[in-house]
Amino acid sequence: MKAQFFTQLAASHPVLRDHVRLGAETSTSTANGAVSGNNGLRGVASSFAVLDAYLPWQGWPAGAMTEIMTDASGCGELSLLLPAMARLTQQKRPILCIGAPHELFAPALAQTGVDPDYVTQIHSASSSSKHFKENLWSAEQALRTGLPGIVVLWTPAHSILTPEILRRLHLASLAGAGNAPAATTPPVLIHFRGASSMSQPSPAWLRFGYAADDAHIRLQIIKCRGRELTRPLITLDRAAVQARLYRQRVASQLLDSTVEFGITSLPHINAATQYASTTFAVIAANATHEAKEKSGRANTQPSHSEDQHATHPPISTSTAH
Amino acid sequence: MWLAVHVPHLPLQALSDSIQQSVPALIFDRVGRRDVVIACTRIAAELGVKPGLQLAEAHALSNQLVALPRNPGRETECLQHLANVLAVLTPNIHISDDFGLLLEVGSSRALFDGYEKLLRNAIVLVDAQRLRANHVLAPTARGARWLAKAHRELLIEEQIDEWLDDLPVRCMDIKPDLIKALGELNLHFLSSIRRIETAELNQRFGTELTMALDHAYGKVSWSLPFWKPAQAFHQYVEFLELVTDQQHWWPGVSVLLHQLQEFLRLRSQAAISVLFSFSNGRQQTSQLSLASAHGIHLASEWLRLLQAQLERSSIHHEISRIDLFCSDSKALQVQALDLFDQHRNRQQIWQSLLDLLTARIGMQYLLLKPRNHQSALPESRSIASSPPSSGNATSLRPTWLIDPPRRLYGDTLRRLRHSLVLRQPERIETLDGNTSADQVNAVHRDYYIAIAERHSYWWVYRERATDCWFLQGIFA
Repeated sequence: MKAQFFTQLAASHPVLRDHVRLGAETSTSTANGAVSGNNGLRGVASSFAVLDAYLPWQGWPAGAMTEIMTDASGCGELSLLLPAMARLTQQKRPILCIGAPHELFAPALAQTGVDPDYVTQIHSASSSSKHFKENLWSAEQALRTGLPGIVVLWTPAHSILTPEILRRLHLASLAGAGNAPAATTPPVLIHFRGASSMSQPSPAWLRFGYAADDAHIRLQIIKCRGRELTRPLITLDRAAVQARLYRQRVASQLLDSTVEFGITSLPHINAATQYASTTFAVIAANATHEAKEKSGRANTQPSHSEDQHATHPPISTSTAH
Repeated sequence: MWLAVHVPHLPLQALSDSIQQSVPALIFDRVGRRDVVIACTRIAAELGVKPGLQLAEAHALSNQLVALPRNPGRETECLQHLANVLAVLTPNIHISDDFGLLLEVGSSRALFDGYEKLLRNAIVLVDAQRLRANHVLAPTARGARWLAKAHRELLIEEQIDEWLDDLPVRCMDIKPDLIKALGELNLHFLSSIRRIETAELNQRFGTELTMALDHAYGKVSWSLPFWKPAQAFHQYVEFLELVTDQQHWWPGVSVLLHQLQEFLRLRSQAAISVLFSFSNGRQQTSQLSLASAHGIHLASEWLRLLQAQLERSSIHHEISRIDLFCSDSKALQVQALDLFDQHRNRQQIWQSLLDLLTARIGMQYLLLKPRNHQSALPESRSIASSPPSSGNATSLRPTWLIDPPRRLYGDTLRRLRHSLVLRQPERIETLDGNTSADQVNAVHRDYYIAIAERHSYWWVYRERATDCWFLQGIFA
């Protein structure tokens, strides 16, 4: 009787239909990384345990727009997306990068597991107003097909995005969800915008500000559909996001200090060189077996701390308020 | 067996159907020192125009007449287009400019389950081109040709002699003087000529008449050169008036693309690229090229791409003629039409999307995949198509590439030199040859990772020859 009442209540108004959560929360994940979260919401796992655990979609929301707002460029923001991109290209899903500030470098993509053959770039390193409009048009066209795994769109910080434009992008994402082939996740739209747009309204399902220092990456959640409006701050260890870079840095520092303190301590040199070589093996092994680990976690949803240790053992931390 | 397709009033029928139906047009040609009307549309005929009138006389009848000079090239193109269409019946087609087409269809009988069905197919195909034609299927080429001038539709599988005997002499394709001479001798039908001995005919008229009769009656074979279908497509439409609005010339584009579609369909091909040329009589020409990576054979798809490109770059001048060229095509992959292969269908949709994006934003802005760069040494190596295997420690590379590398100066450079992460640089150099030129062009770079402003990591290098520093990439 109670359930029937809430069902009727939720169906009585569109707003309630979107925000009232019915029944027990369930989440399932598949071996290909596509995750079905609360109320059947579908997402693509970001591979960052803290983030996946917080988001209702267990990852980046599929068939919807995500806005990442930052004025910084080249501070690990792309690395946040690379694990999801790698997984999707392994599934032969195309990736579309539109209006990126610079050109993507194929060897770097390959090192992170992203197959460059499935990556398409449009209007790289160009931010004229004409190209800006065409970028938006291209994103809309691509999303409507429902074929890309991820569409990553960069709009210049100074550009003005009217609510109508954002609405069109959002509707294109929804249309793509309808057109997506069976048994595949709808396209994920990641929209990089300037930090000044944090105060502007947007139909995006997930919005957060992005800031990074040398040790941490902080995600200020502005909006997350399906979560309470507490605006939590999610902190990721930057060494987890840019693992290869930081491990090489650590290895280099270890080697430097070893050489500095004398050639006599041969075991230190051996340890440093061994550490430098094995780190790559660890990272590659993590990337290769991540899907298996993910599927292994599907049946039992661990707590945040357990989950983060499962994917990135030594380097991921989480705080939220 | 030969199928003769006679297209009467070819100068008029070579015009577009809309002109024939809605414009009081006439075709004139130079006869001696005068321009004489040789054909006219129905509307012009209602105004009193008829073939044989002098052009000045026709203009005196109405000032609304549109007079067009005869264009033999246009007539030939019309017949070639028809040959393209009828190539589904047989590859052996002869084009006769003053008559129409002759098709050798003997080997196509089994394919079409008999000559009657083959003839029906031919009539349907010709009607679809909105051409009025006579169709005769007969055992000899010349006999079929003569009969087609007198009969609308005829099928003679054997015994052509009786049909030919009843033909008037004017149906023969011999010199007009010869036909006139035969008429003066009261020889008006072929049967009357055949009653005369061959030797006497040869003596009086030369061998042309007897040879023609032998060909028609099948006593001597008649060898004809066959038309070779063009590998490249070129068609055009012309407008009677200069047009500017897209809505006025768009139907012409549509007609051209449907002709291209038919051209490709007959060859089981898909076009890789097409080129439109929009011109007028004032030497103003605009060209638009469209490309498709996987090939397109449908007119509707090309129209979609053209529409996308016109939104980017429209035609700003008046147009009197549109040409469509297509020389780049490839075999249509029949297996690509598998309705049950979802993955392949997905690829096709994705390729269509890329074609659309290319048409709209231009090829130079669409990078199908991260490129190799010749200007920067590390990037000139081949791209790893698969992720590195476990344990294969490759050098770290940045996700963003700055190309061309950005020179670093002043404070930025000073700060960077104090924030190098890797004390041991990665050295990359080119020393491929021993010649002096190779020595001059050799590149020696020491690559470092440095912490820059806002906590970003840069991939910088020092050019050893000049001791200059450059930014090559960013670890985003």
